[in-house]
Amino acid sequence: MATAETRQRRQKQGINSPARSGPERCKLPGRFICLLMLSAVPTCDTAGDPPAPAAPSGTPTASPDTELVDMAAFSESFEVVRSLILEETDQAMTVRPLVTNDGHGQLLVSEPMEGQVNIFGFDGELRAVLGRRGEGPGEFAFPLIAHPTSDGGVVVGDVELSRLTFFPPKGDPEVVATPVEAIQSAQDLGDGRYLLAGTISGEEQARFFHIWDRAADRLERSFLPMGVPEESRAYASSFQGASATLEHDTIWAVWALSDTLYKFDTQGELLDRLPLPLARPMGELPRVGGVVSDPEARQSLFDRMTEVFGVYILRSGDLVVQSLQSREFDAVWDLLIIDRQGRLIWSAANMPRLFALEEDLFYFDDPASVLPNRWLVARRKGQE
Amino acid sequence: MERPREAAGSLGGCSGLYGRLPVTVAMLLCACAVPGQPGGEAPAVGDPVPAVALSGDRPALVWVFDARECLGCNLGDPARTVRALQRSLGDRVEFLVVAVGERGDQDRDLVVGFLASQRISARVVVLSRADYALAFGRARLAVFHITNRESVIVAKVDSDAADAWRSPSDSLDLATYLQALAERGASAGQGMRERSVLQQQFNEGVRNNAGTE
Repeated sequence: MATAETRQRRQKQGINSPARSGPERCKLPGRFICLLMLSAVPTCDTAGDPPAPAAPSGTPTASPDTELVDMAAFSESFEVVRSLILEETDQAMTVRPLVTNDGHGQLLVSEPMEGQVNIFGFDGELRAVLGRRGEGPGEFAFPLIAHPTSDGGVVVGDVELSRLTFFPPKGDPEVVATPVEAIQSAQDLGDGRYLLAGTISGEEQARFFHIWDRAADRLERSFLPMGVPEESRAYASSFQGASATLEHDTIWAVWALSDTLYKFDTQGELLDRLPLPLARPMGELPRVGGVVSDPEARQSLFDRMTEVFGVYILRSGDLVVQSLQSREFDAVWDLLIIDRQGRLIWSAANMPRLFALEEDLFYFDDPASVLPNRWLVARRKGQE
Repeated sequence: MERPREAAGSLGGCSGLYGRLPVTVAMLLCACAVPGQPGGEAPAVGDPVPAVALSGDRPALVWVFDARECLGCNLGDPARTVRALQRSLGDRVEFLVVAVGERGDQDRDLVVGFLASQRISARVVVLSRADYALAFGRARLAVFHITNRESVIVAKVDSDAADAWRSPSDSLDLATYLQALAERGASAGQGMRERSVLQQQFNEGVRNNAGTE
């Protein structure tokens, strides 16, 4: 079986440069770890929300990957419009980017390992650097996702420090603790309300999203509970990634281990559930009783699980969903496009990693480069 | 030393790979002395770095860790340090990783993959635990050995505490210290003279540096 190194050698040229992104590995305080362990305790009050069921395993529809990216399939479906290089300086380096399109011509690029957020124009120009490694105001231990705020600022979730940092357009950053300890991100819903992604300590069945009134520091509602059988919850709690995209008064949400796209209103009321015809099955969670202490065995288990990563909205209103399976220090990425009723429009396995979407332009990692700041901007063929 | 046991039913993992976030403390591997191996004496400041060949044309940072740590969480901070040093110093300093493991090429692949994922460019040498113990004794793992161009150890730095490390004589941070070392070697006083000066300079105080051994 190919190792990460040999795969990279085969697939990417120009190995003389330091190379590329992969899985994020972070050191977290015991408090956070304990909180998540508590959240895996069985059974629950799901507050009337339907749980997010983990998909059963099934027959794979994607062939085993001998290459991380199927360039033939990519070229068949996408036309590369241009390449993009994110600027690097002494203050900013792209290592393992987590990217948000701020909707105003900028890319908010979190670098958890570097402890900062870099802001780029769509031309790759570095416009600002927010934060640095540390625990003081405006500093990060492990920043995850950055989102724009309605006042023109940026808000960033730091999962290791369990807090949000608001960067106003002018003035000093403001650090705010929220009731969601394992905070991943916050999105501005307007009127001082925010959609928080993350889990709360002590919940018997973790819920991944919360409507938060910042001024009152009150959670109006928590929703999208983890919907796995009780005996698998401890395992499932290893997959905490939850992602949402706002579209006016609609929240499109996914959780890593659910092959469903959830549609909520901004009160957290479930409007619809769209099954996702993923290119490869989710895999089956181990049940209670297993003790996975060997790091390689654990990695192997991780590598067999498909995780839904994020949802993006095309100019046409169709929805793009990205999923992945980790491969040691890298991953294989799959894409699918569905319409708003959930009908499949297109899907493909082994695509380059999608970082962002702008109108109908896809911002991909450049699979021909070992450097994670080299991207491709592409458009689906036949979609002009 | 036994690894901490993991809670039953957990995959563990402090890895926040994409959609995954850290959960248990279980997979913590020992960042500690190699257990169960007869050992030689740990190399000290002033000794040549054992078991590996350096280029000899510039100072080096030799990063020693357990290969299994690549799948854990403990190398994140040292990796950030090395990445920053490479960014600022470029090829004025040689970067070498000594990975301790029993699986030969498998461990090499694992470490190379890890370094690539961290945007770190370094040559990798894999030593078995027995070979490591013979060369490095029961020295603590996860350490940076800083050498001059004569491959003589001039400082030992706990890789988890590199941000706080300061050189004993002139209180330089690690980046400035390495830069000074590179410049000193390039200008004059190479060879035995440099070695003698550095030995004298660091033998006096470096062993007292917190967390070095």
